[in-house]
Amino acid sequence: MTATTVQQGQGGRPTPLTFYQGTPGHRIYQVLGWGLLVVPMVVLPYVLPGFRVSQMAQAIGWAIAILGMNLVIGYSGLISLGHIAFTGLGAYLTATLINESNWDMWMTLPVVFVACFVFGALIGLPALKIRGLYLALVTLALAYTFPILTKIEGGGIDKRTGGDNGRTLSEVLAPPGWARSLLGINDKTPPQQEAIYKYVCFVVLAVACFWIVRNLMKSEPGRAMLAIRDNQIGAAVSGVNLNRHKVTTFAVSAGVAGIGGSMIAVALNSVGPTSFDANYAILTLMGLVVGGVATQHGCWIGGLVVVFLQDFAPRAVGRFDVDVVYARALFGVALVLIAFFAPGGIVSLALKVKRKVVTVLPAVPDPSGGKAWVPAGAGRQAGATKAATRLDTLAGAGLAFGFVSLLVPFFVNPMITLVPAAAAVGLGVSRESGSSPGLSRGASVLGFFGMVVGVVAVLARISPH
Amino acid sequence: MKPSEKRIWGREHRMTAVATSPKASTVKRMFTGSGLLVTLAVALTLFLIPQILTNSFPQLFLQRLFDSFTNGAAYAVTAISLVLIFKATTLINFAQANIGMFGAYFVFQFVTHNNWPVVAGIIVAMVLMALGSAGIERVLVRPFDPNDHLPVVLITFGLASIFEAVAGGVWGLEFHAFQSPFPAKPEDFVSIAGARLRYDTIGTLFVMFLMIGFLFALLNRTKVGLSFRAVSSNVESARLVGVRTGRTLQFGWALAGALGALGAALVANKTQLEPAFMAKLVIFAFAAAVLGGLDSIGGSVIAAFIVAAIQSLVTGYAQNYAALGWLKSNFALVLAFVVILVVLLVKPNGLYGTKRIERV
Repeated sequence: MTATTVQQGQGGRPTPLTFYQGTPGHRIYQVLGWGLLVVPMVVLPYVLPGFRVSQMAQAIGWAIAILGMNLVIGYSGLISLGHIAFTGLGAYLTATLINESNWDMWMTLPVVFVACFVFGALIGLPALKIRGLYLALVTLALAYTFPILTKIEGGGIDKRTGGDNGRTLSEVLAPPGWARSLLGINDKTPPQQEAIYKYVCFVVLAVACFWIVRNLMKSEPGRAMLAIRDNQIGAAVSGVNLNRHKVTTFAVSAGVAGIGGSMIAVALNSVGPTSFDANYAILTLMGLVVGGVATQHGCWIGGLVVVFLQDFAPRAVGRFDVDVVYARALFGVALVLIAFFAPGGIVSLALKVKRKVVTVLPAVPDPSGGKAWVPAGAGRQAGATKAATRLDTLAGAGLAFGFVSLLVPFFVNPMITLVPAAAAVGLGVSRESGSSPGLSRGASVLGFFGMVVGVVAVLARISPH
Repeated sequence: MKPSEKRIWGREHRMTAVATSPKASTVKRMFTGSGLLVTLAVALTLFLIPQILTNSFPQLFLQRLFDSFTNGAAYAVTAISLVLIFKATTLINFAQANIGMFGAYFVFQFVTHNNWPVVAGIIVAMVLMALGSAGIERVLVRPFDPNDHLPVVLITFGLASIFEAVAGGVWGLEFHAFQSPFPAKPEDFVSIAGARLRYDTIGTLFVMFLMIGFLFALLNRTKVGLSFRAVSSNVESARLVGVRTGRTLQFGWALAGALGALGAALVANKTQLEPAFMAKLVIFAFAAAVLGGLDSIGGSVIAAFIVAAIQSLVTGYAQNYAALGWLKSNFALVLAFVVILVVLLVKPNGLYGTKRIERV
């Protein structure tokens, strides 16, 4: 193998940027990739008006609800349209626990998860017998049924759910003093403070959820799930217990969707039957496929789609002097177009573009016993390796420059919230690099340094002045 | 054979016998398969009988039964249109309700704005929706692998949204009165034991049975019907013996579109016309189709009337019990959900559906 073939992308064509795994350039590239996600997340709540931030908090709740759907639809290949009912159950449980029992939102989460888990297992049991579109039918019926169940008069149900009108939460999730100082939002109005605080809490919660699901997908149950999706008979022959895995998956996904529901209830400060009806079943399905089925980043996009599409579509339609009613037709057209042209959603399109621009090639141990990250075939072509490494470093440096220039305008205030991110990035990079310990240590040190800076900054802010 | 081996074989034999042989104990048969359905039906009847007998017996009971007939006919026609598509392609068309709704709006347009006679309006709308459905099949459904369900769910849901939005945009979101093709004045009824059987109910039933007769003749007596049955029995074999499967499936969709429009037009007089009026009913049609067996036309017709009767009787009588005062008419949706869930759990092929053998 020659160096020229090594430098080619997966499609066979050379790409503008090429990284070898384990090189400094690759590290920088990875950190920047995460930065592109983290920086807007940190910066946006400080620049957007309060109601938009509150919408973002809702979007995060929907993202978690969609993550739950994704476990079933994307990773298990079962089509469920009824996860909105689990989301609604989570929302109503949180609302009633906060209102009737004066619990905190945080305390309701385990209860919500367990309740939705059990409910999901009960609904999931039919999934063992019901195939494909039959399951879609049952779950669609569930989606239609849920809003009606909340209106049952008697058994204390309508008293707790508020029937047609829904309920307002008696307690809002307001930031305590230390959180206000920590986030640097003392000078904002109370609604803004509340929105930002909710947003930050939800980001933390959502990252935890995503992390758990990610690990789940990498462990035995996750792999069994994928095996069942791709070839049921093959999975059964290989010793996967189909029944156990299907029910567990359904139950876990219901639990995750329920957590999303609690977040939505808190973000909206209210619950109502119209927030969790069949329309939202279709909207969440749409969010899922727009973002990308069976991807995790897709869920974030899906959450944004659920919240902002309803907001923007009528206005977009109105701008062209068309009746607002047609906004719904836009949703339909979008669904059809996605099914035809982007079955993998936005994430797969982005990946396609990325593959055209960046190639990451695996590091292969050097046969002569040199550094482990030396690219394949480099032992024979030292000159080419050097060139490749230079290219690597240059590309990384270029990206880093862009990244820093993005950061600078916002450096003053929100820097503090970057701290955990920096730490996470440092730790993550160090965990992933098995091959070059020197570099990983450097990354961890960087992360640790960021953390120290952050702590000092926090202390400086908290100290009375 | 060693004794221990013999015992194992014997036990296995017994276990399979429980599920299939008629010698299984009565108690077990009451709670497995169709036995459970019968048990539930008997329990429901026993539960309702005291109320049925004490509330001005023959009259109110018959009235509620008659009232359910129009719904039953509409569910039956919609369920047939779902079954036709499912039979041929094992797909469920989630846009079926809204295709029918659109057809009903066409009828409304022809009748109120163009002053056509209602029957002519219905026939033209049926033709239009048949053409539309055939077009949908060709352009939006055929490109996809029928074994991959997600794209079809997306497309049919997308279509449902589009139809609903366009109907709302063109004809408005408000309720419209819909002219019945039958005499529907307040005094048009036959009195049976004090209960009123309205002429338009009779007419609806008549049209429905006429349609079913026509459908059976079409499927069993014509060449295109033969190829439709061949395709729904086995697509690959049908293709091998020279059936043009694509066109045949398209024919199935066209039939379904026409029937959907008819079903909507039959029920629209009762429910009035608004963009979501069929979407509210379709879950009952789903329940009927599932109860009858998603690939059995006759079964889904019978099941449609059962579902409509249950809906009318349970919501009518059950709330007379003090403890069930919370049962309102919208609770019928919950009943439909329960019907779908229970049937798919205990008898996934429905009452009259073909048994499928699942390997895993």
